Amino acid sequence: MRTALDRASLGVKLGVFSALVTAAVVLIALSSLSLQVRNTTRARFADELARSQRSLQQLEEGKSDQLQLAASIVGKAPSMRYILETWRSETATGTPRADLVSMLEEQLRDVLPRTGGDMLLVTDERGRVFVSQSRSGTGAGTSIARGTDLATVPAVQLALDPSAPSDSGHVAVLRNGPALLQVAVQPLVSGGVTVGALALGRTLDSSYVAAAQKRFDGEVLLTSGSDVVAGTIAALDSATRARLAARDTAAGAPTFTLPIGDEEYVAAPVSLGVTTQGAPVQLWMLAPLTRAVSALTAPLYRGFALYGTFAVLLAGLGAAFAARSVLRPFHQFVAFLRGGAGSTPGMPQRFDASTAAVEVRSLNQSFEVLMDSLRDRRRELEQRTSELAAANVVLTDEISERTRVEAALAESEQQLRQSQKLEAIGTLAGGIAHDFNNLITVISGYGQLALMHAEKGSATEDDLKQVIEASHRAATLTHQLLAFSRKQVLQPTVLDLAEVVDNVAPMLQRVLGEQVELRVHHGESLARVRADRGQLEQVLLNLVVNARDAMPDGGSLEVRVQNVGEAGSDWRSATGVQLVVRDSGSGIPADIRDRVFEPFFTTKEVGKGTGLGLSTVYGIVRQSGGTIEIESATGMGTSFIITLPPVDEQAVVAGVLDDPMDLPRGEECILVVEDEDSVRILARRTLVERGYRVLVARTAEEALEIARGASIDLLLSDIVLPKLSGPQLVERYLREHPAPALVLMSGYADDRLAQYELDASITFLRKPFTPAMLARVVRNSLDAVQGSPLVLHGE
Amino acid sequence: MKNLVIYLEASGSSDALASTARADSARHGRIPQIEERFTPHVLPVMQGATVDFPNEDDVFHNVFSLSSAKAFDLGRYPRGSSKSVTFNRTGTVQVFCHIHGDMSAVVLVLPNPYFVSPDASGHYTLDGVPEGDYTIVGWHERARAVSKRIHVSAGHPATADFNIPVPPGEAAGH
Repeated sequence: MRTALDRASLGVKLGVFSALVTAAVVLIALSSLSLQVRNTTRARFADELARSQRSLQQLEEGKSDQLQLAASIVGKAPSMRYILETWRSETATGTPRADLVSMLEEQLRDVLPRTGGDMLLVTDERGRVFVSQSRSGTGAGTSIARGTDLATVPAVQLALDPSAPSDSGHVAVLRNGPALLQVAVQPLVSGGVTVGALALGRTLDSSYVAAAQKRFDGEVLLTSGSDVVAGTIAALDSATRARLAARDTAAGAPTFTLPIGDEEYVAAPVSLGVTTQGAPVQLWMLAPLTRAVSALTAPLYRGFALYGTFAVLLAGLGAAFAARSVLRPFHQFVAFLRGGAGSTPGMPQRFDASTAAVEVRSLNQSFEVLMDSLRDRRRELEQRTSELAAANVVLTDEISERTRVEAALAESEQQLRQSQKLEAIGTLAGGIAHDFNNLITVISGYGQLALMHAEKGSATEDDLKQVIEASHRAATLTHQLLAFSRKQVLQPTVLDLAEVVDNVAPMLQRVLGEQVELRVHHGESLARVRADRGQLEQVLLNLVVNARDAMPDGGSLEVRVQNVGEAGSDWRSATGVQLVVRDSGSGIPADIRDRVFEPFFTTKEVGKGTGLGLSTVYGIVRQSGGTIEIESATGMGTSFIITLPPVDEQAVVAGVLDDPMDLPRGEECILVVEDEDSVRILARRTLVERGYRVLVARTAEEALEIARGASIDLLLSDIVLPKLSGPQLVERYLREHPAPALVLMSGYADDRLAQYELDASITFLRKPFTPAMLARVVRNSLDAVQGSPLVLHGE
Repeated sequence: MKNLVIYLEASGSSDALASTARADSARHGRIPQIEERFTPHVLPVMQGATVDFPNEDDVFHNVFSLSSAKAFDLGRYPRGSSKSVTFNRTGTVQVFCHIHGDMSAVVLVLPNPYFVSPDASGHYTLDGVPEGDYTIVGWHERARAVSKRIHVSAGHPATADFNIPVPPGEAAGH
């Protein structure tokens, strides 16, 4: 059932729900209304009863007043008192008069019907019944026996003695057998003296009840204590009677609800008095609440049943109809959604909700917002995807670029390792060459001195010539080593590379021989370079020799000088000057291409090469601030490409040509500073033999000391000295003396020396030197210093 | 004292007392009706006395009695008229008026003339009483009669004090 309801359509649910709610509302309204009717009825009854109670009370009071009045009137009748007075006075004398009793009885019998009462009695002055009369057929019972003492009845007491206490006035209730009588008691006064009492009574019985009921639309009960004397309700159980007896019945006592059997009554008491036995006598008015309520509610129930059913049906149908009409646009909307919901091509993109209810419009609006958002998201997604694709391309490019860069880096590293290796070898070679140089200088020097003194044409002369020749070759080797290790001292000048090449071209051709064709090319407006001319010539020579050896069967050699930079660029815009030496020889295999610059590395036969040719080239180029590259393939020839940085000038220093072999002489004073004894002695001997005055010093300090005591024309100093160096010595010297000719000599160019760039005016003498070289350099320096003073540049 | 009567009863024969000279004044009485009252209310008389009931009011009166000593009904009669009743039997005669219920009188019919009403202070005197033993009675209509034995000797006054319980409104006397 429940699941069936769960599955039912919204319309049915709404219908059932509305019907249930309406039914509940109807029921609630009905029960509240019936409760209200009940309460209202009860209140109405209570009011009515209270009114009835009052009116009945008043009626009762009126009746008892009437009774009282009647009693009073009867009591006023003189004959009654005459008889009583007479009786009393004669009783006092002891003669009872039966005729007086019967006379009084006769009188009462005559009077009683006219009083409206049911019983009439007269007591004597002590309250004992003197005479009584009852109306037959009134339920008042038989006459009360003569002599019955009524003195305890409060009303009688009050009548006989006005000062006696009594709270019930002159009305009392008497029981006479089964009969209950309400009596009004009046005193009988004669001559100001109470001679007896007269009681006029009426029977409180079913006829009394019937009379009371006539004045009241309900049930009536007459109770005495817990006894029901009479009533319109058949039987009362003892509990109800006890309840009635226990009620507070003071005047104006409130009404209360009393259930009797199936009925419920609203009860109101009217007090009639208290019996001689002290039992209160009540007249109860009972308004039948249940009956009245059901009389009122029965049509209500019928009406509610009819209209309620109608309302429930109407509510159910109305709700179902309303649900249908409310849901129809939703159904349409759902149909629209099922039909593609604005995303399928060919279907409407928007649901027309302009005529629909606001909820549907709102729903549609939300849906459209959702769809718009979805479309936006989709567009965004597509855009992201394309962006990602683009980014992927970029990333791929970056990766390949990176791979390329890494490869280049690996190559650079390889080159770096190679150059570091060459550097290390150079350092080692430089150290060895320096020591060797000094030794060779000594060997060669003393060899030549000995030759000078040797006999011409003797075997000794030949031997000495061999020694000198060998020492020359050794000097060349150490010179080459120094060149490779870049520790030789350069004397760079601004050069035109083309001019240098043109100058040495004839010599190069001679080196190449007839089988190799030399072709020289150089471009226009070449930039100048700053380099040592002699060293450059050495570079060219070495490369040419190397090329010749690579072309044993002949070929061609091309020497080209050109600007580096954009095509057609002149010296101003050139970023460098290239010297290219290209042969058509066998080429250099790739596996040894990196090693060709290493000293003593050679592919030539033993004894054919020193293995220092390309090393020397490498050292000179690097020391000149240039680079050298090899382009080669086996069988395709080899190109050596030397690139030198350009200088910002066009000046060219003309080449220095050697003087003839004749050794010059002189008489000037020369100070030789050299810490190496053998070199110092050789230099001193050579110069002394050339006619010069020679002073010698081992250190710069010594030299300065000597100089103070002599006039020095030429200072010949080693560059590397203990403590103060050669250039420092020159600086100190120039502070104290006029500038002499200056010649610095060294076979070693260390880092300290590299700080200095020797002024052109300072002559540099490379060790190892020959006596002829020394003589020529000294003479040239002395001659050059004649006019211009020397200036030492440096820090 | 009003309405209070003291009288003697002979213990032996009553003839001795009845035959005395003072009997004449007791053989006649008068109870006029004045302003609807019998005046006096109590009238002691000697046996055989005649009592007049003159109507001195402007209204009719009807004097009657139901008492066994003398039952009579004088009928209605107007002002100026008077009717008489002779009381031959001793006893208390209650007299009423049929027309006016509040009017009542008592005619106390006694066997001898020796009766008296006490004065305002409650004193009474009976003189001329022969020597002998008597019963002296104090009577009031609302009280029980009080009797006392008394001996009267010549030249010696005898005293009898009474305390008679009289209902409220009535005075007590000696």
